[in-house]
Amino acid sequence: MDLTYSDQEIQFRHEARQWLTQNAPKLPMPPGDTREGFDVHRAWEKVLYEAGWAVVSWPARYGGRDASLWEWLIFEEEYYSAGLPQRVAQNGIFLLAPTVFEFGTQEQKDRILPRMASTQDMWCQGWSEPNAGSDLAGISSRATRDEAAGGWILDGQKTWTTRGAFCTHLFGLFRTDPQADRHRGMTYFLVDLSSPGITVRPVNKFDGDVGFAEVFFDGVFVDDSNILGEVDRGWEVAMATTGSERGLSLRSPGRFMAAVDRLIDLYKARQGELAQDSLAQNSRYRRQVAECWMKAQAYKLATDATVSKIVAGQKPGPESSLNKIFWSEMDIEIHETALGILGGMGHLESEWMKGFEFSLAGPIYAGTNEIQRNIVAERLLGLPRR
Amino acid sequence: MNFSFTRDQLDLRDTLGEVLSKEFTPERLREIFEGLHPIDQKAWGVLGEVGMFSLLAPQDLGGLGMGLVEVCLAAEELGRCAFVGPVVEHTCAVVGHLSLLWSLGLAGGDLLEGPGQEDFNNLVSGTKVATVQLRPTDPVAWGEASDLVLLCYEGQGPRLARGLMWDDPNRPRPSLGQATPPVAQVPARSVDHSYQLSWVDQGQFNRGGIINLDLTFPIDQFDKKTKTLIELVRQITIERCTLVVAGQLIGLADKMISMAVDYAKDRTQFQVTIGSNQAVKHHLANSYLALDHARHPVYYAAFNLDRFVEDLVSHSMSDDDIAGRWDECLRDVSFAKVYASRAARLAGKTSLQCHGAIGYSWEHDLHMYMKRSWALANLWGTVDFHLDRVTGLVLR
Repeated sequence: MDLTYSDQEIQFRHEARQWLTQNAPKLPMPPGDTREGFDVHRAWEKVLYEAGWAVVSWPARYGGRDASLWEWLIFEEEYYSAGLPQRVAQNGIFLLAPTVFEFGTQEQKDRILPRMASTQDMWCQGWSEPNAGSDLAGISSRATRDEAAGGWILDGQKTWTTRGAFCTHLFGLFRTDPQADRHRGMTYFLVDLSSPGITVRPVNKFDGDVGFAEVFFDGVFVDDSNILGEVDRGWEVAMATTGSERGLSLRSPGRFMAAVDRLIDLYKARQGELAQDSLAQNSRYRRQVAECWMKAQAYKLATDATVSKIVAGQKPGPESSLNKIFWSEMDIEIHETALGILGGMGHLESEWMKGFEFSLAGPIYAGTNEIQRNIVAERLLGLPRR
Repeated sequence: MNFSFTRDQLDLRDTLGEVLSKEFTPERLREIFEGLHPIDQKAWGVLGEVGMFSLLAPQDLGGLGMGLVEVCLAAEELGRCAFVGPVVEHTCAVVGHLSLLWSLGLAGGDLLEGPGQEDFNNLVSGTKVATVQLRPTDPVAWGEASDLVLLCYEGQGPRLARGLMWDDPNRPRPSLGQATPPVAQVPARSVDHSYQLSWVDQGQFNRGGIINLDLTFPIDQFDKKTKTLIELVRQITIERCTLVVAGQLIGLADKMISMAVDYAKDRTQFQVTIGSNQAVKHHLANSYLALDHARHPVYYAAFNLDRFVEDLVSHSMSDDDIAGRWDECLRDVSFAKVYASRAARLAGKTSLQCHGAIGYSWEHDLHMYMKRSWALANLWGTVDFHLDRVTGLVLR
C-alpha cells in the first residue's frame, strides 16, 4: 500500500494544470445537449485532442499519450477543477472505447479509435427500446443475415439515445437469433447514422434541451466488419460496456471533488446570510457541505482501490454497481445542498439548477439503481435470483 | 499509488481470522456475555502468541514494528468475532504509546533494561493485560480484568500503574464497579454485557496507588518544546485508538451483514427464500454499500497516520508541516470514524430486520454484535463530535 503520488504523477498533474489554465475555453459554454452547444463542445474537445489531452490513457497510435490510469484520474481532477464541462464525446471515449480495446479486432481499433479521439466520429449508445428499459435483454430490434452482401439488415427502434440527434455513429444491441435464450442471440453492432434507412427523431429532456433521440432502423445494412465481438455474443460485450458506464470511466471522482469545492465556495459566500436568517439553518448546511465532502472523498478512495485492482491485472466486476449507486445519489445530494444554500433564489436558472436537473437522471440511466441493487445482492452477496 | 494490501498484510489478517474463528467462537462470547468470566484468558494468550500486541512495538524492543494499517486489518477480524478485552487500549494506547515515546527518545532506556523491561515484555507478549484512562473522570474499559493501567491525562506525563490493585495488601480492595463514579448514579454496566467498565478511584491512587514502573516519568522535568511533543504523542495515541475502533466497527458490520445474508438464503416464506425478494435484497445492498465505502477511509487514515508518525520519529517535518499534516490526520480519522459508525449501525438495523423476530431474541447471537457496535459507535468520540471536527477542518 502506498497512497502517495510519484514524482512523475505530480509532474503530470502540473503539466495538465498548466495546459488547461492556458488553453481553457470561454466559460460557461452553452449546454452540450443543444445543436449550437454541441458544436461548441465538439470544437473544444478537438482542441484537447490536438494537444494530446483528449484520451490521455490511450496508446499514442490511437490519439492518446500512453498515460497510466492514475494519470488519467489526475487529468480528470484537473479538468473538472478548471470548471470545464462534461465531455460530449463521453459515450464514445469512455464507454465504447474500453469495449473496443477489449473485444475489437486490430482493424477495428485502427479504424474506429483515432476518429473517435479526434471528434470526427461522435458516438451514441443504442440500447433502450420502447419495451426494453431496465430489462435490457428484452430488446426486439433485430438483425437479419444477408449472406450475399456479407452483412446484416437492421430493423427496429432505439430510444432515450443520449445526444443521438447530433452524433454520427451508434453502438447498439440487436437480436440476431430470435430462437435463442433471451441473454443469448444478441449481437453488438457499430452503425454509421448516415446509412440509408435510419431516421433520427430528437426528443426533449425535461430541462427543455434536446438530450435524447429516438432512432428508427428500416432495413439498414451493416457489414460484418462492424460487429464488435462475436455474433450472438453481444450480451457479454455489452456487459463490459456497462461495467465502464457504472464503474470507473464515465464518472471519475474528479468531477464530484470539483463540484464539492465549488459547493464549499458557495457556502462560504452565503454563510453570513444563512446565519442571519437562522443559526440552526446555517449549522445544518455547514454539516451538509461536510457530508458532501466526505461522499466525494469516499468515492475517490473507492475508485483508487478499484484502479489498484485493475493495475494489478484484475477485472472490475459487479462492484461497479456499488459505484453507480453511490455517485448518482451523491450527485443529487451535492446539488440539493447547493440549491438549499441558495435558498429562495435556488429555483432560478443557474449552473447549479442545470446540474441538479441532470443529476436527477443519474439513478435512472446506466441501469436504474434498483437494478444495481439487485446486482449487488445477487452477484456480490450471493442472494438467489427470482 | 497503490491501494492494495501486501501479501504479508493479507497473511497477517488471514492468520488472525483463522485463529479467532477457532479460539473465540460465538459460544465463548456468549459465556462472557452471560457473566461467566470477564475476558477469555486463553484467547488473549493466543492473540499474544500471533503477535497482536507487538504490532506497534519497534523491532528493537522485541516487537513486529508494523503500523496502523496492520492493526486496522487485525481490528476488522477482532470486530468480526466481537472479541472481548482491552485489545485496542493494550495494543495502541499502552504498547504503541510507550513505544512511540521510546522511539522519540522520551522514555529513556528503561524499556530495554532495568525494572521496566520485564513489564514491557509482558505487555508485548500479552502475558499481562493493560488498559488506559485518558481523563480522571472517564470509565476504564476492562479495568478490572487488567493487570496494569496507563493513566494518560492531558498535560501530564503518562503514568503506568498496576491496574486497579493497591500496593498495601492490608487495605481492602474496593469494589471497583462502584468506585466513586464521577457522576452520581452512573450505571457501571454497558448494554453490551461483555464490555466491562470500571472507574478509577482517584483518591486511592493519589494516596499511593500509583507504582511508577520507570517506564514513565514526571513531565515537569522537560522543557516546553518536549512537553508539546509528549502531548502530541498522547494525541496520536487517541487518534490511533479511534481509528482502530473504526476498524472493529467495519468487522462488526461485515459480520452482521453476513449473518443476515446467510439467513436470507435459508429462510423460506411464501414458498421462496426470503433473500429472493427485492425488498430484502435492497436492504442488504444498501448496507453493503455503506460498509464498502466506509472501509477505504479507515485505511487511508491509517496510512497517513503511519506516515505522520514515521516522519515525526525521523524528525523530517518542520513545525508548520506538523501542524498542517496533523490537521489532515484529524480530519481523516474523524471521517473514517463517522462512516464506520454509521455503517455498523445500519448493518445492525438491517440485519435485525432481515432476521425478523428470531433476531430480536436473546438466544440468537445477533444482539451481541449489535450491542458491541452501539457501544463502539460513540466511544473515542461520538459521531457528532467527529462530524463536527470534519466540518471544521473542511470549512476552514
